[in-house]
Amino acid sequence: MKNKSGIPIIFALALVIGLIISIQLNTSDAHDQGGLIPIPIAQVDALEQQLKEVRREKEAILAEYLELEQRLKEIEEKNLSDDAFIQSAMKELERYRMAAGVLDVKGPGVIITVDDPIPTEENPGDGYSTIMIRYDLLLALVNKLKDAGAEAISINGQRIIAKTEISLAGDNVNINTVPTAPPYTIKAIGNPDTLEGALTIRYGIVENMRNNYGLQVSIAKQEEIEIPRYNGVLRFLYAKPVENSEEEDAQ
Amino acid sequence: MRNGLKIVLIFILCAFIGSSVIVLSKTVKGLHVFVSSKVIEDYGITIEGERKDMENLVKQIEEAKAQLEELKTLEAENEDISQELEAKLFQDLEFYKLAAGFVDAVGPGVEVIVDDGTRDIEFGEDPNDILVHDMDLFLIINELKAAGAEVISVNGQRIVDTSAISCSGYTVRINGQFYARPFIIRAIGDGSRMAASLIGPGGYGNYLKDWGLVFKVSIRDDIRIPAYTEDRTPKYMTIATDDRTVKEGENN
Repeated sequence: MKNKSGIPIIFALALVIGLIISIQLNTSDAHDQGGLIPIPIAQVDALEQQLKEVRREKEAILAEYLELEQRLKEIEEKNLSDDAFIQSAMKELERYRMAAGVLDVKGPGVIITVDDPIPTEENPGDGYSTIMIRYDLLLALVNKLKDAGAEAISINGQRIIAKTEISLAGDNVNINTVPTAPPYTIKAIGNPDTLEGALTIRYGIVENMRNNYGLQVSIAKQEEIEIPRYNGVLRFLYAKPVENSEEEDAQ
Repeated sequence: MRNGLKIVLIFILCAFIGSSVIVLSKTVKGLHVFVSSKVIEDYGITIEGERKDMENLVKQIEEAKAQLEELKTLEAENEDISQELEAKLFQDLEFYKLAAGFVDAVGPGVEVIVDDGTRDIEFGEDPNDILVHDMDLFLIINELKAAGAEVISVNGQRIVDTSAISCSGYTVRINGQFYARPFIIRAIGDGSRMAASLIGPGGYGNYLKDWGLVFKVSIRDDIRIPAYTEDRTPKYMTIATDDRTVKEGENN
């Protein structure tokens, strides 16, 4: 009888101890992870898979487009006369198209990646992306690259052309009206040493991003970078070209 | 009887502890990763962005297909398509000359005047508070672009894809040329939309005015923006050939 009544007590004790241990483990684990939250791997995997699929789909469409373009080019080359006037016009068109950003280009340059700070215990973050809210840092970075002589720039595959905006629209940062999210990969073609030097100068833009905002920034010089063309539809509804400009003063 | 009950209880106890260990290990490690709460959101945005990119591509494919079709029918009818192609060549030439900024542009739009503030600074206040900076200028330009500006100039300098605006002491360098205050920004596009984005609620113009800077916007229908005049022969970039290989794992 005495023995029998002891067992439920041991049972209850084991239960309580087990619960305490599990609660302890859970809370201390969450504590260590700072502002991070647990998410099922399956969900992340599914998203990664979805993104890969969309990108594969896009590559297929891009390939189709490039093929069509090639066919058009062949027809042009076959039928356009090779007199000097037409040939020089075609050369000029290529120059304009290159400057307008509607051709894929390659050359030496730098690749910069910018990502949000890793949430820590002291600074768990508020669930918002630092770099998205401070998108003006991206603008400033791009401006510095241009100042250092960058000839072509892209952010997450979006080519920066004359009318490219970087704007916060709702929760998204839109570039060329296409929503983008961190991590940001900025590619720039130009003199790699100049580009890198202009960014990493003491108290410069990169130091500011790292020290004042805790952003993760890395810069890599590259021998050859490929920058994609502007993917959107270029259209001028308001602006009309006019020749000869001599009568306008500097303002 | 007593032994039997004991065994049953111990069995239950063991089962409970065992299952709790499994539950614990599942929730703590196994199937979860610890990520920042916005990672899921970022994935969603990136996927949405890629979709949007695809839509743009599909539009261009349709355009190219229509063109190809047209040329083919002409060819089938044994017409001389070189005339057609030449016309297209010169049409393209004019269009991309405008897009690249090699020709003056006219159209309706807005004129924005930004100048240093005229108010006296308060005791101990930084004079920078009432001065125009490069940041102000390119935020205004960015705002204009977001509102659909097609062509933009600052103090007569056409803003092209490589235009930088940098403060250098008392002057601002635009396209490598030096300018001082006041700054006159002209933009061709939907005038009322651009003006509203600057002086509407939360607009950057209001923000500058609050600091005491001079900021004026006027909607005009005769904006003229000169061509880009600096040398822009590329030294580093060359055209990437069309046989672009698709690299697995390369995002952009």
